[in-house]
Amino acid sequence: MTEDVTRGLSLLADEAEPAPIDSHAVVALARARTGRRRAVIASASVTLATVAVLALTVTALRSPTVATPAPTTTATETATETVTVTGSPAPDAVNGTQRGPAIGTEVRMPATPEERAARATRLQQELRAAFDRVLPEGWEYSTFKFACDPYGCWARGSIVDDAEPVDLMVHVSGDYSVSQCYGDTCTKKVMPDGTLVALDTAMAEPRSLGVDSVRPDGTSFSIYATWKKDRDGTLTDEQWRALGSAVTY
Amino acid sequence: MSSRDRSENERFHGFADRSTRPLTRLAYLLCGDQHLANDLVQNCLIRLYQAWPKVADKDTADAYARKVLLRCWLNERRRPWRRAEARDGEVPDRPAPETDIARGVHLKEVFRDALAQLPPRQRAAVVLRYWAQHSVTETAAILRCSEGNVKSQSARGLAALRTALSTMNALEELRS
Repeated sequence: MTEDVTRGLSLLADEAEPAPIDSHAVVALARARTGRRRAVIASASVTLATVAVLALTVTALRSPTVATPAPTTTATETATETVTVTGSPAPDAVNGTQRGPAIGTEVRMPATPEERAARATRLQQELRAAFDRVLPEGWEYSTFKFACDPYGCWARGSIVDDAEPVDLMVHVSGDYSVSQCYGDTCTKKVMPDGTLVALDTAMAEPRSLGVDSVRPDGTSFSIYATWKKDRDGTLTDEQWRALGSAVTY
Repeated sequence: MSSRDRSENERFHGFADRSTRPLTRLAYLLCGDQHLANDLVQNCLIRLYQAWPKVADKDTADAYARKVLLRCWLNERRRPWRRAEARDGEVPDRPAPETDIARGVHLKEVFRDALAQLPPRQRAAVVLRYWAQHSVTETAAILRCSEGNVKSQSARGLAALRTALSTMNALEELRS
């Protein structure tokens, strides 16, 4: 059988008439095909590289962590979302040598109930620690339990020496606000940590004092102190300023 | 062009001149179409030239060329317009086997039809084994398959050919 097949195949193969093939034309075609293939590979590589560069650029531009530096936050503020708004330039220090914090560049979104609860506890601890650090010997302080709403926290309390209590109302927020500090009795100073503190020792109400400060991280802290009877003095200006930079929103 | 390139080119031209006829015969047996066979041989030579510097042993260039030719044909078979084209239709006018010439023509026609009914790899195995007289090992190398696969493809191809030829009463004509 295989001999028959071989014979049949040979008969069939004899039919084939090879066309004259110009080997030079074959070489030219082969070179042209090779050139085309290289051109296609080169253009595909360039296209891929261009697409990759464009994709990386778009990704980098869309990434907020790359485009703008993240603001300084504490552990309890990590869940707070920030948005950028146009703000006014920072006021220069009046009595200090350093420039104050950049004011008005950011506002914060309302705090969640969990953030507010954690913030109230932390602010109380920070303020009481500041009292321990700043108040002269012989002064005591009350509880200063903070309450917080979505935009700030406040507390009332008193510091007491052997003469009489000085009532304090404090308010903390993160909106970069600071007193305009009119009048000769008001002074502004930038503390070593960059906090701008405005201290007004003679406010409209007699026997009162106000401290307004803004920290570089945006914390705005206000202390309004009143006392009922004339007294020789309360705390020194430096002690009030030290209290003014005591807490972080 | 360097002298080495020129020498390689001259060797390729010599190879092309020498191999065109046997490659065309093989291509014709594989595809059954004269014009397609010529196209396959040209494509085969183009591809061979692109790989020519890598063909270190010029003594094996013939076997390598057959391998390239087979690849060209199998690739051609995979093209959609080739799959859609029917090559096994009945030819309406057939010469009557009355004279020797007419009988030979009829025999080739019958054999061509029988061969056309084989699947490509079976057909390639039969042609390489029983026309090109390659061994099972060589055929397996050309087809890029195992020797067992070559044996089974050849056996099936032969069986299919036997069936097709017996129905056309051509076996006796081939033997006579």
